Amino acid sequence: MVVVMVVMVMVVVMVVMVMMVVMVMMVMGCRIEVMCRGDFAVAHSEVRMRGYKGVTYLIMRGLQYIVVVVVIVAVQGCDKNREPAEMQPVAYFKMMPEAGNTTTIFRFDADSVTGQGTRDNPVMVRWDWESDGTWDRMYSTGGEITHRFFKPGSYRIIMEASTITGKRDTMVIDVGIARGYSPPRPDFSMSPDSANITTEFTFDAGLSKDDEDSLDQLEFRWDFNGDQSWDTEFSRSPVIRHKYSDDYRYPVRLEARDPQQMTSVKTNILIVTRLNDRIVPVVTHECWPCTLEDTVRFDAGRSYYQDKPDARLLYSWDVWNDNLWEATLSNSPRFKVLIGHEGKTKIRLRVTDDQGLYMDYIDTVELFPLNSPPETKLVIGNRIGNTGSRFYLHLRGSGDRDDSYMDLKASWDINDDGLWESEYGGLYEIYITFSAPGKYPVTAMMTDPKNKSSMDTDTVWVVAGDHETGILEDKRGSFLPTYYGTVKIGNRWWTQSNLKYSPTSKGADWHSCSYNNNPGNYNRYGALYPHVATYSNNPVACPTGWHVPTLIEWQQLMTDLGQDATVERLMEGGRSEMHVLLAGQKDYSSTSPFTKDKFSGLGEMANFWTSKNNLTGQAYAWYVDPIRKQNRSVIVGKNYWFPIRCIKDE
Amino acid sequence: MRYSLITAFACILVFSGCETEIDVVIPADPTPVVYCILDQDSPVQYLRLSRSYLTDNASIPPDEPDSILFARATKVAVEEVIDGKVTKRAFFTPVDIAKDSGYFPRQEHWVYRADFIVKPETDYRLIIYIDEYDQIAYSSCYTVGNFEIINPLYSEVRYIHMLPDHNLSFYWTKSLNAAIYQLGFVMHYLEMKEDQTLEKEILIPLKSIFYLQATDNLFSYPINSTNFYNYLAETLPIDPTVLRKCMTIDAVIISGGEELGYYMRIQEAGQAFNLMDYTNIKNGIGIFSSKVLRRINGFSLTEQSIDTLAYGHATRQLNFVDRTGTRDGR
Repeated sequence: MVVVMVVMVMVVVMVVMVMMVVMVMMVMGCRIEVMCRGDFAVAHSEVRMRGYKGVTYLIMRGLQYIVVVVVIVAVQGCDKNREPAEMQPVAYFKMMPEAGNTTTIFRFDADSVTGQGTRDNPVMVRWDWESDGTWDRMYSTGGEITHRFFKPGSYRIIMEASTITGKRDTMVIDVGIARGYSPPRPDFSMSPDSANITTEFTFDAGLSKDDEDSLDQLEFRWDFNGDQSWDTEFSRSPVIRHKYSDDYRYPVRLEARDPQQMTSVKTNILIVTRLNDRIVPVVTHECWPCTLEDTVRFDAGRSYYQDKPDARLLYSWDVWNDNLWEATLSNSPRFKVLIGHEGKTKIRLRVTDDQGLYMDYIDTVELFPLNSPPETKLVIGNRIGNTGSRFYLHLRGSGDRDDSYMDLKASWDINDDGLWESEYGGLYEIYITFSAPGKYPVTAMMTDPKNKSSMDTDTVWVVAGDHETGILEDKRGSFLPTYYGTVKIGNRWWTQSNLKYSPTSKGADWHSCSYNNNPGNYNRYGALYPHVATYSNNPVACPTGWHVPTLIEWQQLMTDLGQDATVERLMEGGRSEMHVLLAGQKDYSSTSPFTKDKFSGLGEMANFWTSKNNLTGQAYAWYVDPIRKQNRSVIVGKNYWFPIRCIKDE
Repeated sequence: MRYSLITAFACILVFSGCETEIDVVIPADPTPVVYCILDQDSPVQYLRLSRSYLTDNASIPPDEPDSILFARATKVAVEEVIDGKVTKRAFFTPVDIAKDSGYFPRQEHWVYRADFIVKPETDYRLIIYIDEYDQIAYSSCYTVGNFEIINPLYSEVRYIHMLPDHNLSFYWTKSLNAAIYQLGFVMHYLEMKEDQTLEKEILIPLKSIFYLQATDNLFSYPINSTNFYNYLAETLPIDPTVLRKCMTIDAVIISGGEELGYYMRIQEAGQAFNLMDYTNIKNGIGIFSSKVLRRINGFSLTEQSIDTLAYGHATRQLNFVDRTGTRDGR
């Protein structure tokens, strides 16, 4: 009793001391770490082995750690910024069931160990089933594993947990394995495993196994056709032969019996056919590539019977390979069918000999869609010019679903006389001039190799004018360049149509829009741009070598135009050849989500951005309004989106 | 208490008496050098494992030939992990390989091989345990997802036009976890010399595109036709006695995992002595990632392209026949 009291007092004293040390360290900001876990485990086993002496040992060991920690802290001080200690894995696993024999498959679960790690810093486990110093199972990040002990005896199972840096811990379990008896595991081979009804099959049960008994101690019996009735008695001979009278997928059953009268059954499928591999079916079909409109003609005339060239063969055909035969046992090797279904279709040919044995061959026919006509897309680079202009027309945006663009043939009707101009035949792009003002419909036609064609028509507008003109090609953005007619006024070159450039980069400072966000308006009127587009370099609005004109350049344009600088002559078709379109504008000033994009002015007036602000930072636009007879600069809010014309750098 | 004082004193010595200078000429620990790109189109996977060694001069081989490879007994495993559980485990075993010409410090060379199929978009973990040093190297990666080529398609009826006025655009869908796509062609051609005709093929890599932070689900890239001819000119040997005939070309896109993307991007930086080489091998250096390939076979070149291959300035010395199957009508 006295001893127990003394021990209890010592325990209480030790706990109080530990708490005090911990509190002091926490006040000082130290990180508390578990130390020498293995020693505590040893102490724990000491308690189990030695009773109260073990308790005394544990107390003394605890006091020892306290003193050590206090001395270290006193000498070294505490570093509050110390890195966390490297992870120390703690080994633990469960074995299920906890006891068993040589037939038991034990499951070992160390998930609680691998769960201590992460994907990047895993805790891995490895296993030694016999404590022979050789690890039977290499490191794994998975904690679950099964194992079977085939020999009875005592085993010491060691599991080691490790981090990738080598921090380790182990756990050991001792287990006794008793002798167990398991039923045999029958297995057999069939030779051949698939053949026709003329074949004698060999069945060999030599693949059977038994954990406790050798093969020659086992007995076997057979059910050849799977009718649950044994066709033979038990026999020690593992090999037997059998011949079938009909074709079928036979579930062949083998039952094995060991000396303890334990039995098991194994079933394998044997395929007995009427196939004759001496028959070689060969089939061809004519069209390639085939389309939906083709009647596909098959020819099996080159099929043959090996070593019997005179054998009489009969032909059966199964379109779709659905076991519904469209033609059966025909003397003719030829067969035709209108499949009429797009995609791949399987056709089964069966060639049969005079014994009723046959061989099949699956032919695949891929039917492509009916040839569709090309899509002709006529683009006029400079839609308006004068009698001195070279007009650029191309068909490079045309395409065809079934044929390469390069296989399409181009034809042109320039003068709307219904006749294709021979000098332009086959050209995908042409340059033409017109000697008199007027509007000229131009028709282009693309024809594919199967003579299907389509046409596209657009109009070239030739005005009376004597300015020098040209074409500007903008290769930015999409695959096909954008073209602009250009005109030289004074000594400067201007684009004759509004800019059509939409940055595609997500990182661009700005983007453009079409009026009412309608793509049709984009094609005719060009795009509308925010003010930032006039000065941003991410990206630059105008093509390389061109820029957004300044207010002074607009004023100089009007000076250079002289008498042509009137609203009427500035408009499309006018003598100025600037071909102004009343493209309208977008007002982005509204904060209401319903009126945020307010478009106005289409067909009424046009404002073109200039690239400079005035002294007070306000933006200038060039304002053209035929209703109010306005052609002048205006100060505008930067919330507007206007079209842009480009001027060539000097 | 006696033991406590002794232990404390020893600790004080240990913590207070450390020397802070490092001797840089001591032998280095063996560092595993790993290269393993899981091939999601193949049932066979390969891994190259070697080890680094310290030397003052890289042109001088190591003193001990063995020091460039670990022992064959080194254990290498890959684990497939689904929902946090190891669902499959494959072990790599060494297979001998033939050496290229040149100096090698040891007679035998081997790579590690394992037979398993890699699943897309799945967590794979590589564990290497080097017995002789009791050392573990580890890595993990998510395999890339499957994807499809959208264009070019229908090789049975479509032609590839490789001329500067018509740069073919590849279109393909996103491959999940991928950070790099390589576009190219495989050209199948005949080489005819006297009475002998050989079927050959050549991979023509045209572009590596990095999408390290891609959010789009559809990608496209226009192929520069000029690169096609230039690569052939640089790669195929000029042999006036050989006549070549282009048969078909296959369009190929390979997607590679994020780790491979970072790794190749750094490699492309072209720093001969790049001290910041990317690695995703813990306790080692190297790369563990995956790739998947998509291929549309059997395109024909247009007649203009075949003529350009035959007589274009880049490839005219390679002796390809023109659209008529001859050269200069002979």
